[in-house]
Amino acid sequence: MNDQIHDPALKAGEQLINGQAASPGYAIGIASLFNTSDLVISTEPVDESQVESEYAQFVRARRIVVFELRKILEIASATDEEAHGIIQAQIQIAEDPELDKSIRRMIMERHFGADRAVNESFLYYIQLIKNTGNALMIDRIVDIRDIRDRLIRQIQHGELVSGVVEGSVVICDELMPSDILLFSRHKVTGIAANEGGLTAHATIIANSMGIPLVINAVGATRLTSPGDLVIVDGVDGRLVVRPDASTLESYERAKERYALELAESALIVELPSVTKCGTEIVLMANIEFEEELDNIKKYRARGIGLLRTESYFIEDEGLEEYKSKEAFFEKAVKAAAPGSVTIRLFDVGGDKFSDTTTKEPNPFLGWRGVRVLLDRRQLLRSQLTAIMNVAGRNPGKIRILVPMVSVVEEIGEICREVDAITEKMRSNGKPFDPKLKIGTMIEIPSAALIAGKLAGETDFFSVGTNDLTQYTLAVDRGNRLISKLFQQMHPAVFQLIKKAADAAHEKGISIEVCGELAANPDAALCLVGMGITDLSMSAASLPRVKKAIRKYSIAEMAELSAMVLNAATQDEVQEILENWKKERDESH
Amino acid sequence: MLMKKVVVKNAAGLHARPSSMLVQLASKFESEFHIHMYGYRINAKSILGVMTLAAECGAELELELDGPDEKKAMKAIVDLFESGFSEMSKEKYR
Repeated sequence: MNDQIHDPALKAGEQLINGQAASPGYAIGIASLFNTSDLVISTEPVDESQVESEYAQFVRARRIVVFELRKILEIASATDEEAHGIIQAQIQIAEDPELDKSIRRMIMERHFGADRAVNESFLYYIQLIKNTGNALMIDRIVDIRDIRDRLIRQIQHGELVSGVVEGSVVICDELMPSDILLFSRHKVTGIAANEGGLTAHATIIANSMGIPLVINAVGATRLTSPGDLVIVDGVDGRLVVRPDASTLESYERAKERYALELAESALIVELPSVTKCGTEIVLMANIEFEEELDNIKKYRARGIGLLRTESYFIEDEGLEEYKSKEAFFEKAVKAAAPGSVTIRLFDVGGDKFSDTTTKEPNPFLGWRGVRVLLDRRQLLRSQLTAIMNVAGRNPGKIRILVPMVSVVEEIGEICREVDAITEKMRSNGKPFDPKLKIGTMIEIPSAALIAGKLAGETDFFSVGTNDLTQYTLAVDRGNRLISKLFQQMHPAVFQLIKKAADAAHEKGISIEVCGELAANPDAALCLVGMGITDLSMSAASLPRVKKAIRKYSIAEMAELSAMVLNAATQDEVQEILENWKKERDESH
Repeated sequence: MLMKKVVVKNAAGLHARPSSMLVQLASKFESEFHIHMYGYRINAKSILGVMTLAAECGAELELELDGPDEKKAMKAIVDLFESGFSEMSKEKYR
């Protein structure tokens, strides 16, 4: 009755929400809501039998918060004493023994929820500090509140995830990369989010895990109730809430058809990755998480063309993994065999890391990638050491990739660090890889333009197309106002890639593309046409790219890329592609 | 158990950073560490407790140490107060 008084249309009958397809496939199932923006402090008393596990929740949240702060401390400028001091103090606050006692007492004796116990314990101290009237102390209350909020968020986050029903479809407001991993452990079949971006990290992971995802489904959490039957259409980018019988039937058919297509692509997986004229194209996988390693075998990837390492930093479930990153690299080497693993050095900054203590007006043009690494030598050395230890045990199986290189000196400086570590390993009698290859990411236009010079300093190129597009067209890829201008197939992007490819070929070094552009079968044809025969992408995309390149010869694709390089607009590129494919397919 | 009176010497008083340094130093010792001030007795291994004192320059505190390494701890802590916290680099107390 109540619902009808509020708005009869709101929570009854079929609702279609148009969004954006972010990971293909169909999911039909019962909705679980995962709404992080509506968080409030719990007021329900905790049952006597639950107090221990409630306290354990706080301990877990504290461990994660402290871990994150220590990571921030590691990259906070060593010279910025103030920032260091504040973070150090924040860690001490989180670990404060009296605070712990107070929270434990409130949970055990007064049966407060962990979030409420944290809130009230902090309130007590904040009030006492306010009472001192000491301006210096009162200024620090903001740092104390920050810790409180981090703890409460962590506690409630854990509860939210445990509220996700196994096998359900998750409806949420926005997604963190770590959420997707948790969802996949809950065997979630599909996800729809109010917000999100196509190149966001979470989207890439959903693709890799094969979970259908619709983003920018505005109002998804408002229009869905837990337990509603919902359909996530990751092909056309729709969320259907409480579908009618006829809608449900047509989607069930679509789901079956899609499963058939998948089966067909499973057949393609078994076919060799060669062009019509018999040239082998090396198709590799982009990997970030251990969970994804099985995909290498599943999709017959020839090694790992891009192993991202940032998740040690941002994935809160990775606490133990951080300590054992060498073990993860070892696992990656095993999974990639007989192929190799290209490990990209820590590419922190921009959208991937929002918690730095330094606020930059223009983070995408700021302190990221190799720029951070050269300023934080300790971080760089610890990463290089871990990689080089594993490379020493597996010579020839590991390559290092340096992100965000904009000037030649940066790559030289990294090589010097590598040489110093090699020297140390040699004198300590540790096994090392004497032929360890160091590559340069081509993702800044300056790097593409001086590729001829860079080629003399580095062993291989790897083109990062997301960032290259962003910097070439001056388009922030996270900015929805200009998302139409984020044109990965713009001729200017292709021209820069061609420039780098020509330089690589001339200097006799290898070049590969590891950006998501390679996962687009049409774009892959153009790249192969430019003479780039090594492509790396999310593993799930490999079959469709393989299917495309098997249809044509190198000469045909070279002809295509010559036309594309001459185009004026992305629309023209697409037109050229369509016409070209139509002509071939008719004549074949 | 050892007791000793000290005076806060640094101009800004026992604000966040000195509190942090004090707690960091105290945590290295096994002994229990309390501070008496204005009739309060707070656990000085609790940074929030130390901050609520908001001890200003010239304030007199009484340190109470109790445990197997109380002598060593008292010396280190008194030294920290004597130095006025200022020139202590964070490396030293890490």
